[in-house]
Amino acid sequence: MQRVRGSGLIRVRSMMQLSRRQFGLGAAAMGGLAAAGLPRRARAATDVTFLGWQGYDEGLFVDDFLAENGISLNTTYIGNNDEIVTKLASGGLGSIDIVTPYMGYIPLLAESGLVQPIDESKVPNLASVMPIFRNDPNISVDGVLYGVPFTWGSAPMMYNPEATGGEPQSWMDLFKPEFEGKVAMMDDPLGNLMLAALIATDAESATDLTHEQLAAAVDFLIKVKSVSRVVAVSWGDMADSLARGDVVITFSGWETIKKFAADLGTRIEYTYPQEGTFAWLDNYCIATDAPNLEEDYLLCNKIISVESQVMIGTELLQGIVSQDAVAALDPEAASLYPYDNMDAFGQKATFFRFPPLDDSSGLATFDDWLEEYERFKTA
Amino acid sequence: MTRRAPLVLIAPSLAVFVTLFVAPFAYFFLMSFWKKQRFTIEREFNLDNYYAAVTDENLEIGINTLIVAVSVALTTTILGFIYAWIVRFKAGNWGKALLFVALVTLFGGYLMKIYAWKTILGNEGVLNTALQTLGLIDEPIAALLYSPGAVIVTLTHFLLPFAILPIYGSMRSISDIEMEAARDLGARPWQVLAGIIVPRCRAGIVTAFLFAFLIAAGDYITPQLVGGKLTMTGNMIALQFGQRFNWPLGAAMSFVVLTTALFVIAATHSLMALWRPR
Repeated sequence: MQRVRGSGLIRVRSMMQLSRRQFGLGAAAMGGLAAAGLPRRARAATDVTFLGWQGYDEGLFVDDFLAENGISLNTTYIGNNDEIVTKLASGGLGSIDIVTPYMGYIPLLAESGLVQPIDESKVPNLASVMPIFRNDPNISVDGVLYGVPFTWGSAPMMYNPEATGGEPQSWMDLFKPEFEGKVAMMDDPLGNLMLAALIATDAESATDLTHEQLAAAVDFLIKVKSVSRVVAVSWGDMADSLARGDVVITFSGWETIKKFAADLGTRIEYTYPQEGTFAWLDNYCIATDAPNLEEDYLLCNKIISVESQVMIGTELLQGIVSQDAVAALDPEAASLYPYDNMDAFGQKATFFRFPPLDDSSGLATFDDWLEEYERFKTA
Repeated sequence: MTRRAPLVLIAPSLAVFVTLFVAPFAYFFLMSFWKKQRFTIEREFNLDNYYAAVTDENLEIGINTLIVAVSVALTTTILGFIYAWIVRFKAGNWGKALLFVALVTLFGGYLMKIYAWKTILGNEGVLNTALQTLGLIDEPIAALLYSPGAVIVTLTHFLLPFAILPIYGSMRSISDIEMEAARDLGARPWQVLAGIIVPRCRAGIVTAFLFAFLIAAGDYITPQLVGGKLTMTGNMIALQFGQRFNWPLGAAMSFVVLTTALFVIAATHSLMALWRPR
């Protein structure tokens, strides 16, 4: 997904404490590899090229898996999902192995021939992936799987229960007089517009908008901005504002903010209001003509293994997809996401596909979205 | 060989300058006349980007940016002048210590200062808590943080050492004898200030003002972190180079800011040139 919302990465990168933790973890993993010396098997290391969000490779370093399989990971970090498209389309095919797009991009990548179908028999750990993720229509094209989902999240409403006096029920509660000037929102074009479209328009899908619906969504965002105090640039910034008491309720959010605020000494909760919200699901995909197909499948399988998933859920504080790993999570990490009732979550949160990139359908394109979003920025 | 020696000596720095500054500068200037397609940039000459950069919302944001930048520059220059004046003329042996204190703040880092001000100005911050403890207010003053005022305060704090240094440098060249002579001839303190100190510090004052103005006008981090809903031109340029992938428009907006800054530099020089020693 674009920048913030489909990328747990931007979320991770935006949290100073997480970055440090990640750094320490990565350093420890690398140190372990270095201490181990040569791979245990007497084989030359295979260079596997990984193009994805920073942090999304760390689940692979959780044990000696890479060394044991003679894999040396060449990572290139991305700043947004479009980099995956542009790098694959501009000469990357044949040299890039793994990419980590948000699920909304997978149909585009598949239809453009930039990623290849997943041979499910080579990813046995898929069997433990929860159905809500495994069956997401975005990751399959014509019934063929193109991505291995491994982390997810959504956009709940965050609130301070002491200040709100209970759990808000609707996104429209933001406009209650007592919350005026105490609302925070993120500077996240795609996420904000999807959520606004969900609330303020009659569009069947929050990403298939006519130009009128898009304008209505932006009008709604401007209305939210009028009662807001902060347009945060990172999730850490939003958590900080909530923890300091500068704001008490949010438009959009991330489940993990609850943990960040708790670490800062303030109890913050989240809820999925009655109008619903959107969710995101990030994947390992194998690029077309990937040079190391065998190793690529090993990585795809590894990232949804119990040990990698537990690491993602406890260290990166991101949502995980493996049922077996959820059972192994410590209670604190398990409490961050609604693992105990994913059916109810599925009824409130939707995985929307990406907005159209060309205007052949007559609907507003993603470029139209960004252009219209500037009206919100300047309001 | 002798004639060529200077050229040879400056060649490395010239190469670095041309490669890292002139070439990108020229490239982005050219790009500002091109246009963006979805994932590509079309080399079709047009002035649409410049039109977009100076009309509608961008014009409004530009004016707001100018107001904030001038406010920061004026505040910083005035405070920097006062501080430098105290260091040079009033603090005696403590002058060097005061100057050292001002310089030490440079080691604090930009982001640390921003977060320090968030801690001071927030609802549960030092200032609101103190005012409430003293019984001066019942509710926290929300406007202290996430407002244009918070941006001005934060940037002023960050830029103050950069204003103090050039002004203090100018003041060091003022001889005590000149000032004593003025006083002996009956000049009042404000006449000494307006007739001798300020005119003799013109270069330092102009440097301080312009330095603060240019940094404030191009900043986009501070407004994001303490400006609340405030959008400045820097934020819009960052948006074009980031989310929008519209580098041509971003380049055009950058050159509009640069041109505006050149006008401000020229105007400041002209105004200060009028203030001559009496």
